[in-house]
Amino acid sequence: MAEIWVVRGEGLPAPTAGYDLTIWDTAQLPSETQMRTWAGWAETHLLAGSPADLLMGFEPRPDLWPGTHFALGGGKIWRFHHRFVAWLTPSLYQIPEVPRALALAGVELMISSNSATARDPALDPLWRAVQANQVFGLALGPEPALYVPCEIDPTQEGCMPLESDQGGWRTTLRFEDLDDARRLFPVLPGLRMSLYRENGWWRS
Amino acid sequence: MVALLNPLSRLFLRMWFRSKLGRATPPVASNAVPVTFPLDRVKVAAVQWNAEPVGAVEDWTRRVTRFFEEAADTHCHLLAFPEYMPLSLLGVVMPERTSAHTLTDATIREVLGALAPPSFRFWYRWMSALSRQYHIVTAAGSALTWDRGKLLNTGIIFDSQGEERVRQSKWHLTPEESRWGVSEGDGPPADPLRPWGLTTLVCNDATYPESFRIIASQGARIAVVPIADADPRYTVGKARRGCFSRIQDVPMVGVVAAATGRLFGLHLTGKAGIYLPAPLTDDGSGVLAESHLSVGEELISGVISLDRLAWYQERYRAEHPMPPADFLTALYGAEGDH
Repeated sequence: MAEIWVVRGEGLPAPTAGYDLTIWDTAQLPSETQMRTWAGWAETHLLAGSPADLLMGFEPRPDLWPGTHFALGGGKIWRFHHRFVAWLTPSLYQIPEVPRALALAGVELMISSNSATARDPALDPLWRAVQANQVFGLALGPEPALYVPCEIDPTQEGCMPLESDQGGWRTTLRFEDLDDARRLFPVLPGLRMSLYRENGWWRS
Repeated sequence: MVALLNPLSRLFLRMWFRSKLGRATPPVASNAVPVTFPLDRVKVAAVQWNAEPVGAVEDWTRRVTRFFEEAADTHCHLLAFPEYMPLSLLGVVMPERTSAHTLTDATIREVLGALAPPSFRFWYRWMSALSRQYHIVTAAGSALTWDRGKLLNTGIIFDSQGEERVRQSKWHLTPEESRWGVSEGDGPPADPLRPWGLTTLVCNDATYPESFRIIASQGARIAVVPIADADPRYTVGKARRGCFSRIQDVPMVGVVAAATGRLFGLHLTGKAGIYLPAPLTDDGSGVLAESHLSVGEELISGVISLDRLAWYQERYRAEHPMPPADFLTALYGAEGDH
């Protein structure tokens, strides 16, 4: 279980206790020193991202994957509490193979910085990626939302609002719930890799 | 609880079922009339079907015929039916009031396997005949059929002359289907029916973006998805994560035809819908038409523009290019399925 604090904007608010991870959606990344200072003072892991910094390259050779175990260059993937977290621009989630690669590589939380809150979650590419891969998704729009597989949302809509807290928003992730979702509706075990290879659409 | 069927019982059940079905013969259409179909603006209709077991074969044929009549009266070019269309017919030999709702997986497996050939033939003949009679291209839904020793859940599309033009078996089974002895389809995807680029993917195939990538590479522009979701609780979220979601990211027209109601212990819910990439709908919702309730029967329809779709697809491909081939080869290159 992880307690997460989400903050947006130019400056970091004063640290608050009781969180395992702070996710800071900012227009411009601070220096590493600033981030380390804040995180040390807060005794909380801090993950910062800005739209200009969340693009991704595609590198199929594992020995060329910088800063990550995955076939996705650019180091936009982090490890937290023995879980992998990816933070990308929304349009990258619109390419279905990107969240698929992330999920198969073990990413369990996908984050996107949205400029607007989607009026219907299904119109947000991150929500679709979450349902197709049964991971958590954190949409950092003006009104942040947590996307979850429908199976583990009591409303079965796959979207939960975040609670306001001290200038930001809070949410709790129970990663073990993903196991329940994948047991109830096993999507990834149903992949037909040999069929996809035979019909490789990327070769046409 | 119903005991497992012995070979003699299976044979008897199949013959009894066949004799019941044999009493209803499909209409003999007059000479085929050449029909010109639009290249751009296509009127599409999708059926939401009450799949509860029928007491008489005529109940099934009358309701199917009524959907054809309504589609023809409203000048539809394409009519789509849901998954497992012939299963309701099993009610003529296994009425719901009996212990059919307590069937075990093993018995369901035997019953479906034994009754698949006559129910498939019956469904096939009726759908073909009615397509020809009403001059409508028909995505007939899906049915179980034996093919080279495998029981497949197969979707078929007939042209307006009643000729079979697309046959596509379900690639991604649900766990229940696996327990019931259904096998995964394999082999190359069917060629879409031109000029529309019309093809079909069966139910759970729409969970997987890869299915849509495959049919898009074959030239598909309209994907008909027959469904029969065994889920007593309908929610918009669960409904949107299939065909609706896939055609947002692999742009094409998505047509969903849904089976609903109680069927041999299953409680099916779902809505018929015609979906487009959101920017192609006036209100930006991605929903062109959708049935009102998640149970019961209804025919929905809407007009799609294939020219507008082609324009959007071109723009979309430029803005969201596929990852490089070496990346995808690595992604899908792992030996063995997951």
